[in-house]
Amino acid sequence: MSVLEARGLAYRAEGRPLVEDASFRLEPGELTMLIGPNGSGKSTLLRLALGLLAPAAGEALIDGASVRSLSPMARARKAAYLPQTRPLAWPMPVRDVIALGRFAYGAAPGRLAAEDAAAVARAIAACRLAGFEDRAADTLSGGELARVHLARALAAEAPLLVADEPVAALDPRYQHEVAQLFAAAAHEGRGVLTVVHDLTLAARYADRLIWMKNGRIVADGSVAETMTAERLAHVFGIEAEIAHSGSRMSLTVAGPAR
Amino acid sequence: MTARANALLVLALVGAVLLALLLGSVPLSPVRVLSALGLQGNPGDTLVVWQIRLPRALAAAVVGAALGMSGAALQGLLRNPLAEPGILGVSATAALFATFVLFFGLAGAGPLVLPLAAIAGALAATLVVAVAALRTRSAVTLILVGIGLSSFSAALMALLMNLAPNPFTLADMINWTLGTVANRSFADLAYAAPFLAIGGAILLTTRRGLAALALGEEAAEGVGLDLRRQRLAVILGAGLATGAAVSLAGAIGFVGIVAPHLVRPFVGYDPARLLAPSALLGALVLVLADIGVRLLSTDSELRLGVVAALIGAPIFVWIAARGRLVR
Repeated sequence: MSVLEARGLAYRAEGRPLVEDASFRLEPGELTMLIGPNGSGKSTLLRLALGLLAPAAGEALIDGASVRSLSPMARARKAAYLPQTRPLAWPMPVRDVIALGRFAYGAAPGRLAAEDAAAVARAIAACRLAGFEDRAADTLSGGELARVHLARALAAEAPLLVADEPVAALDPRYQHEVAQLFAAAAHEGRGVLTVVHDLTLAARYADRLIWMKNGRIVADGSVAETMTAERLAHVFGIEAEIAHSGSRMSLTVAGPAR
Repeated sequence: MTARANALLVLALVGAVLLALLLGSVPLSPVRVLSALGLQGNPGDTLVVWQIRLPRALAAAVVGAALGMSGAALQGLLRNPLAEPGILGVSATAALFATFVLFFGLAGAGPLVLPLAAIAGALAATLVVAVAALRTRSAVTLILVGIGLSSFSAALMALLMNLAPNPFTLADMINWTLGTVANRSFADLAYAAPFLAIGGAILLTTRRGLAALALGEEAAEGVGLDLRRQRLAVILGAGLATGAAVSLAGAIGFVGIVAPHLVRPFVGYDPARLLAPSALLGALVLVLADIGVRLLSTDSELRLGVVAALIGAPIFVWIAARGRLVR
């Protein structure tokens, strides 16, 4: 069974369609990246898929169950979500922020059952945050904070992980580190869906790409199948060159398409 | 750490209430206070302790606790360090209803008319904000509705004062808005108690959700929080507790905003573990401030609300200036 299945999802805001007839399936063990230009409906599609927005048409199924029929807690135990804006209201210690990932299991910071504490410890180890546990979140660098938020999502140990631009505004080293953490999370058997803006990163790490333009899914497949110069020109309006060397693929963007 | 902070605050609060029984225009020795508490002292002492000092100290304590806890919960819900119990418009509307009663001279109809009118005002405002919470997704809208409600109530109150039939009515209105726990009885405490208890209990059930909201509303929904239910619960709880506090003591500012800030570093900035110590500190501060009010001999008695604001506002500026208030 697919971890996540979208069937003909559509969403309108003030009469304007933001997402139209979007269907896809997400299998466990795959790192799927959702790419497309600004305003193509990627974030909206993620929220629809998680049931955080009510679709105008279609439905999303997580683990075979319609997301809108699941209680927030039941949904959170199946799908961890990392939204685009991640403003922390208070300078809480890192351990407590990560502990909030166990909310759906009845845990709270400072009140973790043995299982919750073990899950938090695994997430801290996976994101290499050992030694940071007692640091206040407002003293961390952008890259460290991104790892904290990822650890929070991983601590839920849900079969599905959905993230909206987890590497935005990180320097190249952190981008690759975080992308590798996502790849590792997927290859452990989770379904992972993440929006990414950096095309070279997508080409390097994605097992599968879903391309969006103007609210529609225009392509869906492996990097090798879908990443072509024509599609980059069509979807992103850029002129790019793609070179293959062995199993690696490199992407050079020349500039906006004429 | 949190448990120790709570234990210390409880001890300090018990000590402050005992101090409030000892001190006053007629100082009583600890022995006399204890025997009066056990109803075995001389009748005069028993009267002073049971009828005057104890209800007054307890009123200060529960008002402080309600304001402290409501402030902590609202700051957590709105993710805004400037939120305070008055932000929902509850305090202003309660004050408006009380002023209305004074304006039409209805307060003489019975001892509970005035506080019950205040409670009714608080409930009306709570209802309006709760309806707004059901209809909007944005927390900013809630703040704006609260501000609008506050301003409108304040304008109506100013109108009533403007049209006050005589100077005595006007003086009554102004006095009520200054905030005091003087001459409160156990009967006053008894009518406010259910609202305080229900409001406090509702707020305590929202604790875990307040912690989740530290992540932001979207991520909080993502980890499994029912955002709409959370908002309704906090608004209802804070509305009931604040309304009861205002009906008991009138408007008392700054306790609700300052108490959470002072205890936040001691609970690891966790909005959930903040509620209990904020309530305890709010109670402690008001009991101590009320002792101060009683001991300072001035020609006309100082009002608790005035003193609380005089102490609270500079503390607030000091916290803000240290820079950790807003990140």
